[in-house]
Amino acid sequence: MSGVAYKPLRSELTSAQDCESEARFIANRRGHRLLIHQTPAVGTSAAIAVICPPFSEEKQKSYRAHYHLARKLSQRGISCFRFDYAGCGDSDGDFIDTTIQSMIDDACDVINYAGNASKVNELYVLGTRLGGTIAALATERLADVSGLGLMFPVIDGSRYWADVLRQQQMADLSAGLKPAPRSKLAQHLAEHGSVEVESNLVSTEMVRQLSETNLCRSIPKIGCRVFAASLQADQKSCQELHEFLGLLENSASDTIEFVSREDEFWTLSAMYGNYRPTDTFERLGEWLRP
Amino acid sequence: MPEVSETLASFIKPEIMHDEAATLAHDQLLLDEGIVDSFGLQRLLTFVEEEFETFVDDEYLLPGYFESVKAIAELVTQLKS
Repeated sequence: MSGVAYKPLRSELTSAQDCESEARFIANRRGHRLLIHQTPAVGTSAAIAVICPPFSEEKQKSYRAHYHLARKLSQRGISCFRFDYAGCGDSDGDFIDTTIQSMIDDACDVINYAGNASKVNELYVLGTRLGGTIAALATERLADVSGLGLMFPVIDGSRYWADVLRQQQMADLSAGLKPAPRSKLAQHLAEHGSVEVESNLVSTEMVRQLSETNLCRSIPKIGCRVFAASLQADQKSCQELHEFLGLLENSASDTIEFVSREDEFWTLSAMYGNYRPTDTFERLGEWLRP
Repeated sequence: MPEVSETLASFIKPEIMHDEAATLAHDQLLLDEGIVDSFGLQRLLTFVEEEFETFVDDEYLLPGYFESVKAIAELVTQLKS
């Protein structure tokens, strides 16, 4: 990895006992066991936050960032819950059965569980990329959410699916292979009912639901405060998010828009590298609990 | 073409290598040396399409076109001609 400057990890914890996370399974409404990681608040828990992970490759890339986000928030008195959707990570189920609806249902189940388990009044729902989209759609279905934190959410699902297919092509290319054209991947999906993307079998139903998801066309009714971070380097996504926030202004009680740098979040080896998120999570933490 | 290469390098160093002061020769192997992974490649492709107002069709997605800054610059020049 020539020329790559990793940021050193410097622990801000006051003791090793602080912020220890605990893993457990809960059953979702379909009877699947979902893996949950809870990072308890340091001191008295004043609020809870549920972090909805992104999809596939982006989930891998954001794993460590979410881990640090949970630790950072726990120091602000926020008990954090991270989880795997059914069919993903360590949760039960097969990825081919995963759809946008099942992801929303899983997020709602985890949020309800976290709310019941913690008995605090402040509940925040956070999410990154497709996890942000899921967080917004889950928040619409739930009462008593105090705030919604969106980090580079997917606004247009069909554009995102095209990006996912291209990401698969890039994975082939970086491995020195000639990628299959996207038209061929689409043809495979139509003929076989699924297509392998980033080592996951994605179903026709998932692609249909994803393609129909557009937060600017079907605007979720969000009654709480909204924090949204966009990526400076991705101008199109910045524009989409800005438009979405404009549309939300009628329903959300307050919105804040923050532009992040790419290297704060995605790294070449975010999962294993010595990486510490900076401004975005700092701002998000301040926004949640000043 | 040197201008295209410079533009590409000025994007790759801060945005993908996360080090503006990094050394990046225009013929250095981006994929083989692990400078750019699949994620970075996607970002680079998006940058190429936006910056040079071009579209990289699937037929051009071949490892040889993306092996170095020089190779990508040649592809951009070819697409623009």
